[in-house]
Amino acid sequence: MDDIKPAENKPTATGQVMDIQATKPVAEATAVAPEAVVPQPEATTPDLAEPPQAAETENTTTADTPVDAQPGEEAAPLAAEAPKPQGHKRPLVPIIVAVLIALSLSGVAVFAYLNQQKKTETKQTSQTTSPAPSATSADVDETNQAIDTDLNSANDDADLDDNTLSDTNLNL
Amino acid sequence: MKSRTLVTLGISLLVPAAIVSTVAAQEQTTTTKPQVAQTTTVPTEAQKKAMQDRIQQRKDAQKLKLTTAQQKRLKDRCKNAQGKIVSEQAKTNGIETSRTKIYTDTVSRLTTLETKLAAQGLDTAALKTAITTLKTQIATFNTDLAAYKDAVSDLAAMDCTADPTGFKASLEATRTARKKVREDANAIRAYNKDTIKPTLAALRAQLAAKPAAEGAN
Repeated sequence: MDDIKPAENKPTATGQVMDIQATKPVAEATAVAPEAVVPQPEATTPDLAEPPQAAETENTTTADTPVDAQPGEEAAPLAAEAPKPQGHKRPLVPIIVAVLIALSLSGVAVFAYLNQQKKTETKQTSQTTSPAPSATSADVDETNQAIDTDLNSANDDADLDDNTLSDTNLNL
Repeated sequence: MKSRTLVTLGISLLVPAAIVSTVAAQEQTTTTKPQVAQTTTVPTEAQKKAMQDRIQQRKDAQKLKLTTAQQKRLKDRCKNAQGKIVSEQAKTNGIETSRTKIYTDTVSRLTTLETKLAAQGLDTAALKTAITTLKTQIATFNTDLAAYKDAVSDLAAMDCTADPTGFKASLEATRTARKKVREDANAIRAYNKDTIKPTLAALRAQLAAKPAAEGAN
């Protein structure tokens, strides 16, 4: 009986110290000492911020220490403590918006992927199935002329002459 | 109910994000361009060793014997000469770039033309042979040009005052390599004039004769 110690061992009007078990018969306690300070055990009543109330409020405080509390009686207050907010609406609008965004992003991604696949397919088919364009005499002449122009643009004799590395030029 | 809503929101946002990222990653892999390798300018120990080996090979091959006066003259003047050689080294890089493009374009034009003419049923065997020979000549040019570049590089980088004989040997090797490169380029030009142009002329004649023959038939 010492595990639950009363906060105050104040003697009652009758000069007796009341323990926790003495709170069980509440009616008897109130009848014995209605104005007595009921010592409250600290360990089992953590949310007791207020000093012990009068006999009228003893029921509520002792309800926090449901050692011998009735289940039916406790369920009702607990249920009453956390009532559901009335009129609460489901967040449908954000869900709908999120779904629409998701669908649009998915659509864009699929479209881009299909577009890319199409491009690679057309590129492959054009390389494999399209016939080589025919060459004409003009094409032959054009090729001939282009090669001549390119080769003549490079002056190998000037760029790779012997004089650049001669002793005279290098002053050796 | 609240947790279900959050889960729904999370899934609806994560799934398209995953799809978009996958598509974007695939596009990036197909459109990546090859990176161009960059050449280093600071010679490494291995490059220095290779240069010393080349210089020694040239000295052994040429068996030069310089008099004391010749060595002294070279020591006094080689540093100024190396300044001109460095500018020639930069010019050589430009020659390499321009010739590479010219020869690549030439082969490409001839190959494209040969493909088209062969598709029309013309006899392109001579043109094919000419393209193969041209490619061989271009490869020879590239090999000799690389050897010339090495010689010029060694000439510009070596310590000419410490090794005047090596400098002289490298100079002679550079002159020989330069002449060889010039000859290769002239050979390509001559081959175009003497072989490729006549081959193209013959194919042109075939093309001109073909519609007339088809019309007669």
